[in-house]
Amino acid sequence: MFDLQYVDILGPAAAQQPLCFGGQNMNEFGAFDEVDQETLLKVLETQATLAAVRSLLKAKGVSYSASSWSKMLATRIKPALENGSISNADLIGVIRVAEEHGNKHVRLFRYNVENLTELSDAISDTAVSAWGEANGYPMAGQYVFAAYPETPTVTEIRVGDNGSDGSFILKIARTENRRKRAVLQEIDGSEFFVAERVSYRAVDVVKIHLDGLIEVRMDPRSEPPISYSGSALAALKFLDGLVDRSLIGELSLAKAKSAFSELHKEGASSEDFELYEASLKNDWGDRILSSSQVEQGGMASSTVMPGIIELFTVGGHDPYCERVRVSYKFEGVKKINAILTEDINEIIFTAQLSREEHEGVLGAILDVNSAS
Amino acid sequence: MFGRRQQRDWELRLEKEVQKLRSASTYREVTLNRLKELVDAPSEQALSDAIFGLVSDGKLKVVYRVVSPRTRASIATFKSPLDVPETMLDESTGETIDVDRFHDVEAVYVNEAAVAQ
Repeated sequence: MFDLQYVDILGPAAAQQPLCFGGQNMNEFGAFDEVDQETLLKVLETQATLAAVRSLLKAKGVSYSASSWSKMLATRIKPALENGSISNADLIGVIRVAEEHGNKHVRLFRYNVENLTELSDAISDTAVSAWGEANGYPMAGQYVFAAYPETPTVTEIRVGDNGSDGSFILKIARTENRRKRAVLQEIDGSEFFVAERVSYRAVDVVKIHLDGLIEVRMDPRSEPPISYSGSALAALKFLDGLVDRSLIGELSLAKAKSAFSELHKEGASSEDFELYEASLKNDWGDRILSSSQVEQGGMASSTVMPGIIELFTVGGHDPYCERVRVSYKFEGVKKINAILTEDINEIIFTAQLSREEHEGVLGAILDVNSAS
Repeated sequence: MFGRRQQRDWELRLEKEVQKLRSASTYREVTLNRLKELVDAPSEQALSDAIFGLVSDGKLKVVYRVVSPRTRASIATFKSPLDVPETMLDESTGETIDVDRFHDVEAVYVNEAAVAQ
């Protein structure tokens, strides 16, 4: 099984291949033909959505209806792979897009506003190519399919996201492990809880926008890390030599949290957002955790919770909102769950999202944050 | 020419919050996350360095609060992180917990001699 392979995704490969990975490149392996199919399908199932796969099959003129992943794999994808209707590269193309959004802990940072010209220069095509080459990273237009890499591996660098918007993307794949439920076993007369470890592929994405916004999107760790803040800083460290990290600060979401916590009030309803949970605190050390039924329309529909929260917020001692859970209605239909956590710059998206959905909900939250 | 360096906006905001803590006539506290929101420092490192200086100079008092991993209720407060025990009774659930120092302990800045163990 070949774990790492290159493929051109945007056009002809650059003349010089990256220095790492023992010279394995698409000329030796073809366009992912040697990728172990079982591994590929496992990664596809965990990182892509059924909708994205259906979209691919539809575009290829292949039957695409399936109500579950097991049916999709057995009745649609495997036969299509066997008869050549689709290729490994097609599926890896789906993974490549899907792994960037959804089910992520997103940490937001901002580049010093007085240095945006420098930032723009630093993430230009020319500067990024030189930096990537010096570090042995994939060249522009290349993608490394690192299914379960032994060490965190930069799989893609590109300038331009969703067209030629000038933003910068860096992706790092890593292997994480989940533990299954531990089972009590007797070994040599002693009892032990034994838990099987299951590997999964995690992808962290760093995106730098030209306006100075920096997103670090992290796959959930199998067990809570010492801090996601530290994990985000580790991801940002990959930018060394490209941008000045001392000019990067956390982007506070305090105003958005405050605005969302107000949604319980009568007349403060929003067409786009519903409030389900709010945690409020004050300088006396009081903390109130409140939640309402999602199915019943959240806080705004409750006849009890708005009054309780109101009591807390008029009680003095500088009350503030430290955490909220809201849903965003994307294009008036799909509800996207978002948690703005106690940490000042973190949003957790709990569902798989398309690029459009991610950009839609993040943009809406940032609009609330800047308008408040 | 060699006068005192002019304070930046975020340093003034930090000084204001420290003053509010020090001059409060009743108990007052602020968590690190809240301080970050109020001060909006240019980087986490800059704020950490400034807070370290204030604590070292005795201008800011910090205590370490153990919160319940299940209920987030305050269980106990300690003057030093080294005093936090490895296990303790979670009085909000009645269960003994293994204290995770990275997730169940939060730094809290207070205005008076905290009721810390």
